[in-house]
Amino acid sequence: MTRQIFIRLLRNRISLSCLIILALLYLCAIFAPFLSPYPPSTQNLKKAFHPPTAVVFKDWKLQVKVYENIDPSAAQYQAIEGETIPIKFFTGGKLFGLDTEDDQARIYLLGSDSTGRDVFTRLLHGARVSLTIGLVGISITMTLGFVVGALSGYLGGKFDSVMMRYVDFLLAIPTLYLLLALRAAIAPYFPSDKMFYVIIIALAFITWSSSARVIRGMTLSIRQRQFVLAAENMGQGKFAILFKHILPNVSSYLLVAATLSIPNYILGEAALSFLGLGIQEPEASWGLMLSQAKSMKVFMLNFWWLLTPGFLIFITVIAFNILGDVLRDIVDPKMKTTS
Amino acid sequence: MRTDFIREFCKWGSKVEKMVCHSRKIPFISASFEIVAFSYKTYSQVSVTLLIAGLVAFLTGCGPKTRNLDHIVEMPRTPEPYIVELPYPGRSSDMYIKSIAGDISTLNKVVAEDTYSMLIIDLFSRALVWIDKDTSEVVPGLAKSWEVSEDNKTYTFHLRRGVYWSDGHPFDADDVIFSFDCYFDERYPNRNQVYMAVNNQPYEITKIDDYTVQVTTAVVYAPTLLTLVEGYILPEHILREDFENGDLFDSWSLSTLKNEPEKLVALGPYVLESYKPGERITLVRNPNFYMEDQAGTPLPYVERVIVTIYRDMQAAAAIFAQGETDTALDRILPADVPWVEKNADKFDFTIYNWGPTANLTFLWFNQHEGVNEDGKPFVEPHKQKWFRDKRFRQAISYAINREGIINAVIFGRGQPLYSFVPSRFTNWHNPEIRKYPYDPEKSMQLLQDAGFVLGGDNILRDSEGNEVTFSLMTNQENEMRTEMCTVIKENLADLGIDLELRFIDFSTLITKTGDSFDYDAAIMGLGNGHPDPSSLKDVFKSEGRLHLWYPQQETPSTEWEARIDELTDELNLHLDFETRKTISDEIQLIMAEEQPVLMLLSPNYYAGFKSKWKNIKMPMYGEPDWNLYELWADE
Repeated sequence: MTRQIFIRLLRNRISLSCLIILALLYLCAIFAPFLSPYPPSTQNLKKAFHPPTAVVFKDWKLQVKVYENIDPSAAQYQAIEGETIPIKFFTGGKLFGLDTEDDQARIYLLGSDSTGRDVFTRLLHGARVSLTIGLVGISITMTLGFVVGALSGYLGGKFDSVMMRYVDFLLAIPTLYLLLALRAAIAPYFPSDKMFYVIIIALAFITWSSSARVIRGMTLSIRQRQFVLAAENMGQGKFAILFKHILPNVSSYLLVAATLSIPNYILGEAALSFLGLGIQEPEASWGLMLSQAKSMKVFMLNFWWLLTPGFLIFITVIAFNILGDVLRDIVDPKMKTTS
Repeated sequence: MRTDFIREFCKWGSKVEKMVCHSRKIPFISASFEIVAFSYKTYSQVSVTLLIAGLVAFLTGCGPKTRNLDHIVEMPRTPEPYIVELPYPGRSSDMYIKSIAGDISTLNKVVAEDTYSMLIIDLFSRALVWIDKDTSEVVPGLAKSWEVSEDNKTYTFHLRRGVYWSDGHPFDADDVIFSFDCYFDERYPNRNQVYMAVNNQPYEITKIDDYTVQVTTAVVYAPTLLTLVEGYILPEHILREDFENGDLFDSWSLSTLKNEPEKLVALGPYVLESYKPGERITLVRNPNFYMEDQAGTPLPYVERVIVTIYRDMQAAAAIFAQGETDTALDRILPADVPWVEKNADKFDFTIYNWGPTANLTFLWFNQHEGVNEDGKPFVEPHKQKWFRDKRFRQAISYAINREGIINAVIFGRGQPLYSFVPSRFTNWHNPEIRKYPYDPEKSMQLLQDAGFVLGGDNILRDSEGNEVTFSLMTNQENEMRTEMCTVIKENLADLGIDLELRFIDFSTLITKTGDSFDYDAAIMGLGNGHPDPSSLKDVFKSEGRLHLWYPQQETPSTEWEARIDELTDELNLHLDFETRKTISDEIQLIMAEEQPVLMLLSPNYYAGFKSKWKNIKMPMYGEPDWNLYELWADE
């Protein structure tokens, strides 16, 4: 069945393009150290808020223009006429770099930030955090959601009512406040460079409840089906039934729910980091990078390249949402009966 | 033209409100109302604005009542005014709009602790003496002159005759005595009990006659006059009853301003008129204020001051950049200047660059030797050994790229700082002190001298083999400081030191540095203070609460701290400048050599005013519009 779904995903033009975009983003994240020209925390204090360096084709080589700081008091740069530095490929374990002895020269494909760090590099490294938080997060949520939901639905009785009241309790608290409270409660036990785990724990803790609720409902209806009753009569154990009969029947829901909730993780991380409570400097994440852009000067002095993490968050979230929508269409039971 | 219009418009608005507000009081109409009132751009939009404003007023209910200003009684001018020589003697102006970046909490000097409350209190209160902030000299206030006795302990103040409170009640020595009774009363603990005391003995205040009072200190105390500036005179005829009943802490609160503004009588240039929490405070001119310009025109020139309240400094700067306030908060942050400046021609304002501020930004290590409740030392013993080693602190100081930070983070708009007494205070600054320009090699040399070894794995270890790693914290709201931290992390990484950054909120930072002491190093700042180094007494003395690196010691833990204690005490025992300057120079020398506190940088002081305002004077420290009573608009 999984294969069938996959083939249909590939046939749909929209979902195919989403898959390609996401695959590209994840590949970039995986190969970030290779693709990026610099380590993510390398600064150049003489090149703060440097605009993207223009790349030109000259002498049969790709070259970048050299800029001079014409007004340091407002971070204004201007390209020096005719002066360029060639780009060298596959150098020093990197995909590309500058072919020069000058260690102050930089290639900034997407400009630099307030301490002269390369935004392109930080985007790639930030992607590692922002994109994996979703994947790690949903695997925790879906496991928890399935175990709690299916057990509640299947066992019923006291376990069911206790767990469901707890779920109600979690659902009743506004998400952002719960997130902030959880973050405040867990953070002191982690050093600041392990903030990644704090965010995953906090986000997973608040998102599992709704899927548990749905899975419980599905389990309630599935356990009345004849094949479950038959298995019970033939003496199959409770957990065997859960995993062999119930899990396959809720797996399509899990798949759709998982795809649709990845964006929540990405946005949750962005929100926390934006508020200064998530990933901490000098690590990189899209939300953290975006929080640098909230300062007035970014808008007023037109440092647009600092907004690129926002654009990437947007693209990723849209891609996951569309993919989830298409998936839901595919696994929808009605469609399955007609085909 | 513009301000006229706004005034007319406000009157009109309040008329509309009166018409429609008989039924019910809803407190927050004016949020929307005010935005409309102050945000019109061109005359073509005016009619639309009027229409919307009317609608808003009509739909949402009642706004503030127009204040009855009958309690302001104009009395004959004092025959002994304080006459200021102004470069541009002026004429009456209508309105001055300024902003603050946070709400006020009280109007009572005995209670006030926060900056913004103090700022408003400054506008309607006066003390015996006053400070001219452009020269930072102490000048006569409500006292027209004073003499110092031969033993330098007694100050005799002659009060101005014929000065009246804004309600027409005469001011005399009884008010002065009453005020100090309030400040020194044990029922009302307040800051002045600490400031106006030597060796825990409060000043003695005696009334000689109705217009003469004497202030006596237990021992010779140089900053006496300076501290008296904080001693705002309180009205005996209004507050006596509350004082006797033990309710002084509750009087002159924000609700007094809302419900009984007539009780808030003033001796200062302005009288409070109205207050909308979180939105604005308005003040009107006090006709009985004791100052005049050289032409005999009574000050202040401006009839009405509107203080709008914003959430943060950036919002206030943005509003100024849109031409909606007359001045930009207390100052414009250097990183904001490039974009605020862009609108200067369009909205006709000027940005003044007044050189490096007196604001100090610094880093220090926790050298506390104490233990916490569980008997564990505040700082791990091996780290403490580094932090208490002068060479380690100097090495870190050399390793920090101050110039680079200034270039990148504040667009080159500032200067590196090496002393507690910044170069802005030319009188007191000691240029001979040791400086710490960026020099990683020297830094490494110092570390090696202190027994640290840089391993082949590029990790620095101390002589016992511990990896050198510590945490540095600062408050997360301050962008300049967090960015500075990331640079310092890179700088120290070059030396093989792993720095862990912790950005926490300001109150946690204060608790950690002043109470629980569970931190390694921190970056913080100290605001504008008077140039006189005795204002830093609390930082210098080892028993002081602000002795950042190891506060409130019972006995000084090092020889040099003992020496600084001695010098700080000595500083207060002399009145003549030369002697005091020599002492202050030595304090600065020791502090720079020992580096208990690594001074980092002072950003430039940028002030913004609408170009029409005259008599703007650069202050040594404090607010750009500190002389609001001298400003007038040339329109």
